[in-house]
Amino acid sequence: MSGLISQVPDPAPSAGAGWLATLRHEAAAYLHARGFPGKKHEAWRFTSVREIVETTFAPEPAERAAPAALDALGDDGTWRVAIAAGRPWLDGAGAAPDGVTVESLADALARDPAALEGQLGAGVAAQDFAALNAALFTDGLVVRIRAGADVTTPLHVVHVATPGEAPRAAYPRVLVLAEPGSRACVVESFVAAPGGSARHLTNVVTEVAVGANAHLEHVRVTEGTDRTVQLASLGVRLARDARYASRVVTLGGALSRLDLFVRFEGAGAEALLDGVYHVDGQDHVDHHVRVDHVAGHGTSRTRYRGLADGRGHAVFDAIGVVHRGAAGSAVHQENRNLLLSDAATVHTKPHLEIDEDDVAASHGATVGALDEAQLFYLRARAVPLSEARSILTFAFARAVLDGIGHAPLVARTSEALLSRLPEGAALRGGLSA
Amino acid sequence: MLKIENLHVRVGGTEILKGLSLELGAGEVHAIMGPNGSGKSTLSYVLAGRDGYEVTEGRVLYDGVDLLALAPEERAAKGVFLAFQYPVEIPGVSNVYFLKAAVNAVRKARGEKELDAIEFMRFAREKAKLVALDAELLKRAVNSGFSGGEKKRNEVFQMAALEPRLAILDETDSGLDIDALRIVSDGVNALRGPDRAMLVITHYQRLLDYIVPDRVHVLVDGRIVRSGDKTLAGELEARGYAELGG
Repeated sequence: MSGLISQVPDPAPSAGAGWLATLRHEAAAYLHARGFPGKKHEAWRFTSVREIVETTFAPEPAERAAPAALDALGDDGTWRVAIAAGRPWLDGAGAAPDGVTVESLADALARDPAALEGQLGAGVAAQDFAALNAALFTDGLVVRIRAGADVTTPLHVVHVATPGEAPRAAYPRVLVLAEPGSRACVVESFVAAPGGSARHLTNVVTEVAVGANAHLEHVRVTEGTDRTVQLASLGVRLARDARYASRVVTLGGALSRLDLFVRFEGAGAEALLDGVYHVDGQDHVDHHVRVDHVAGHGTSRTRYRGLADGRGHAVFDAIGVVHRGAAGSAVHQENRNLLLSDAATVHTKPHLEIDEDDVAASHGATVGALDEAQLFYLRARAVPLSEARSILTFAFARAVLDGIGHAPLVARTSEALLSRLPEGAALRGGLSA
Repeated sequence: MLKIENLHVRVGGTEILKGLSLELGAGEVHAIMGPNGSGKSTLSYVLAGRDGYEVTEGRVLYDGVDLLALAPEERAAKGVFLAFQYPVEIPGVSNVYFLKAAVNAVRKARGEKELDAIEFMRFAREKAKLVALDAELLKRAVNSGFSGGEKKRNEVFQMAALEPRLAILDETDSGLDIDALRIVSDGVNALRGPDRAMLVITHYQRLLDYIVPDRVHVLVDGRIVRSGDKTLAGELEARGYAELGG
């Protein structure tokens, strides 16, 4: 046996029959029975994982890259903890802000496994690459925001990939529990350490539970490289009157795939799901968003903007499902794309499945070029063509970036996007004016 | 400074300018008046370098250089400025950032030092006074949600900041009430100078009461049919284009 499946243990019933062993066992059994998704799977039609599935990845060695990666991010006013090689680096993090506990997932499971039963695995079903993570994760983080806590410092989890000379993989798992009435901002950044020549796979699952009347902003920034492969799942469960604001910023990567699941479990919740992605060179970026309105009177608004340049490939797929009985739901989806090169490709498919009458719904997608009148206006003011294109490209994306509630992160994500645009360096710094 | 010789221009297969000739010297202000569809806006766009305007005959010399061979940004860097009839809205780009990019592009082309953010703000506030532009508008996205008058004032503000050698004002008066017209005209008049030439394109004689031209040209069906001094504008107002063009 070779390839990715060879890493998955044989699904013999494990001796310990606890919930976690059952979860792992079922995930492994699923993978051995079904294999990994191919082009015939609707959700993977435009994203091939064949090369990855055929690769035999070595586990990432324990890494000392975390401190350097944190330094490289500069001071962005967040409280930070790194995850490298699938393990958290809590020593370097210092005490978490008041109202927050952050613990290694391995420690939490060893200390009190029952406390996480019904949480771990509840946000993301163990299928496809989420099953791979369920079978193989050894560690990660549990971030708990205490009931009623109002946490002003963003909690920043930095996933550090360190590519080597042979393919490596890491399988981190993160659990965010925002208890009732709390308010906080969680940031996940995915960065790659310099060096290495082979592929690096980050197969991550993040599960978020937003408690009754809690407010959580969740910023998720991926700075991909031609060596990074990210197969990520993010599952969010919303209790009654919960508010969740997601800001996804995905900047390239050999393959950056996110499956985002949001489930309205309590009535009256709200989810604002914003995203922006940029592909250039040979990048392949894929976002799949699924929103399930199970309880009523919830509002979801999905708004993604895409920039496709070079020979890049971007896929966007959103499904909004309103289940029977979820009366008073509002579900809106919008995906707008700028096609910046003839060789770039965008596939977009927002759609709805509505099984209830009393619903407000809309969806739409566009793929277009830069506006000629705007380009000419800039050029008529002496701005060179390539710079004018980058100014307009950035302006299109910043509607999402400016929505991030923490100014240093707006600046950091803006700079990260600008650094990928032609002449972008010339545009830096002046944007805040 | 500007010499247009027998200019023929087609737009989408239709000939719009049919042999237009014009000469404009440094320090001069010329007005071009004409009815709708006479080719006024085509002239302004072809001078600024917009795509989609096919020059089939003739040439345009700017300080002896073949203007039509230059990209729009090169023309602007050499001091050609078009005040747009319909200024473009650019959501997501602040007015001040837009102008800073423009001013620094021009300064770079002239071999001058680019302005940093602080120097630029001081410079922009000074220029904004000229057309009584609310400093709040500097922070807003370019022309987004601006009133008609604010957009036109913003154009003259940009002109003040870019200090062009040749300014083409394309119907800068259209849609302005009398107060706004006065502010815009005062701004333009303040920018008149011995090294600067202006081509003022308008449909209405009214503007020329405020910006008094050295010469007036009447453009009908793609050609200049008559030229004269400032009194020609009054004559046009009284007799109409049809009689003069006929």
